[in-house]
Amino acid sequence: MGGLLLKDIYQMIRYCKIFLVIAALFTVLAFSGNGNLFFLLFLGIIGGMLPMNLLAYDERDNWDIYANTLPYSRAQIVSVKYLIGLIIGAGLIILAAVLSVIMSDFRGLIWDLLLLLLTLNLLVTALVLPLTFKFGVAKGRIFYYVLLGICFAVSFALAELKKSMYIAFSVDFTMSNIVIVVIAIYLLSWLLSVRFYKKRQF
Amino acid sequence: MNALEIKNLSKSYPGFKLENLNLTLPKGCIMGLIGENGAGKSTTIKLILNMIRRDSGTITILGKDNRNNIRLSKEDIGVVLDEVGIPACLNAKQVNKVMKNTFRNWDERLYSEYLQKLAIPANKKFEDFSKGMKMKLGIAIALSHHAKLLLLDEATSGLDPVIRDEILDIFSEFTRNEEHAILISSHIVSDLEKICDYIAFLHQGKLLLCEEKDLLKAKYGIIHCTKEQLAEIDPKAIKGKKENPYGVEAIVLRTAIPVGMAISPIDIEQLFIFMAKEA
Repeated sequence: MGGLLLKDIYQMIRYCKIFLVIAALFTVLAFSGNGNLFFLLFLGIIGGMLPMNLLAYDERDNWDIYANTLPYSRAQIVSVKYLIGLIIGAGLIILAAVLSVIMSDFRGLIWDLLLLLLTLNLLVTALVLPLTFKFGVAKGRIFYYVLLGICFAVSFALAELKKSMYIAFSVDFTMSNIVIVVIAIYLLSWLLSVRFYKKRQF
Repeated sequence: MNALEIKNLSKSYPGFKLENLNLTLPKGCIMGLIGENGAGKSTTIKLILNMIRRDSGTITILGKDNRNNIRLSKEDIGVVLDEVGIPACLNAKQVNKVMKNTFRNWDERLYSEYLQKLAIPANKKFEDFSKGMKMKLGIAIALSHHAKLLLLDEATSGLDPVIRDEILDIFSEFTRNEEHAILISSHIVSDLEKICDYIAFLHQGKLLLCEEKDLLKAKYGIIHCTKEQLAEIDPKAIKGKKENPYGVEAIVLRTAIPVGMAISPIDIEQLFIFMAKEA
């Protein structure tokens, strides 16, 4: 699987330089002044979509077909994109941690914010990859936007429902719980993508 | 043991059907798969690599069923596709590193020899390569991990005649080793005629014939005669004919021609065109 990973890293170095600049800029904006959570959340979303962008390059270059002629299993071809997702998540966390420490005059880390960035980043990757492996990049992107809309609508409806009907949620929405749920979704998404990709025909 | 055995292979798509394909490629040989665009050549190669699901049939690569651990079998297969498939931003040096981490038997020294031999620049990005250069890099990769079977899908298209000739020599050299074999598809019949030991005609998903090239040439001939003269020949012996106001041109079994009738040798392209039109 090393070859697949190396190829994706070469592509990230080439195509994702601009993302690194945006990531640094958004982190600075997020932690400057009173802080602006929007920039951090937005960074998580675009970072989470990078593995799908790599798949778009694979399709454009016909690598998706060529990779299937090489001694890799379909599960490996899928897994490497999830590994890249984790690497991007780790990279974002390190960048945000370093910048936030510097910006707050070394008063320490805001762990909850960093974990929020990581979970959002992984959640987006977990949503986008199975759709892309199932439908291809162009169709997968449309399904992703539809799914994102549904997610927003459901969470909005739930929030309204909670307000109007005084439903007491028994789940404790602490950051550690959210992280566990997102890791579970990420693993589930990986298994689903492998299943979809094994059925794909070229 | 044969390098490749395909038995009763079928696959249907909406508007296309590959029907009951049977092919056997012995080791040490080159088989040319000739067919028009859309005849089923690429589908056959994808089925061999188990990239698409078959409807029926079996495929054996180097003695192993291709549904059993195809990943391991792919270590012994070199593939060149018509679109090659190398990422646009990679150069030949980076490709070396990627493939070194892909194939167990990757041979860096051999790879750099091929880069030199085929005049492929090491530091130029793949997106800046010409079509021919891209194909040459694909061929260099396929030859640099000590594969036993090469599957080449239109691998000589886009190359200029001089380079094509060089590449064909490399392929011939490859099969000097009795353990090696090549399945090459193309619609440039003259290329295949130069190097192939076996010729297979694929037309609209059906195998029209699969025979030794020399045997084909010895078996069939081309005659120019009148309609009346052609009527005297056993219709089963006529593989294809073209009528014009001055007479008939037909490809026939040499053994069925009446004594005294002039017969000229055929080339593979003529044979394919006649048979495809007749099919």
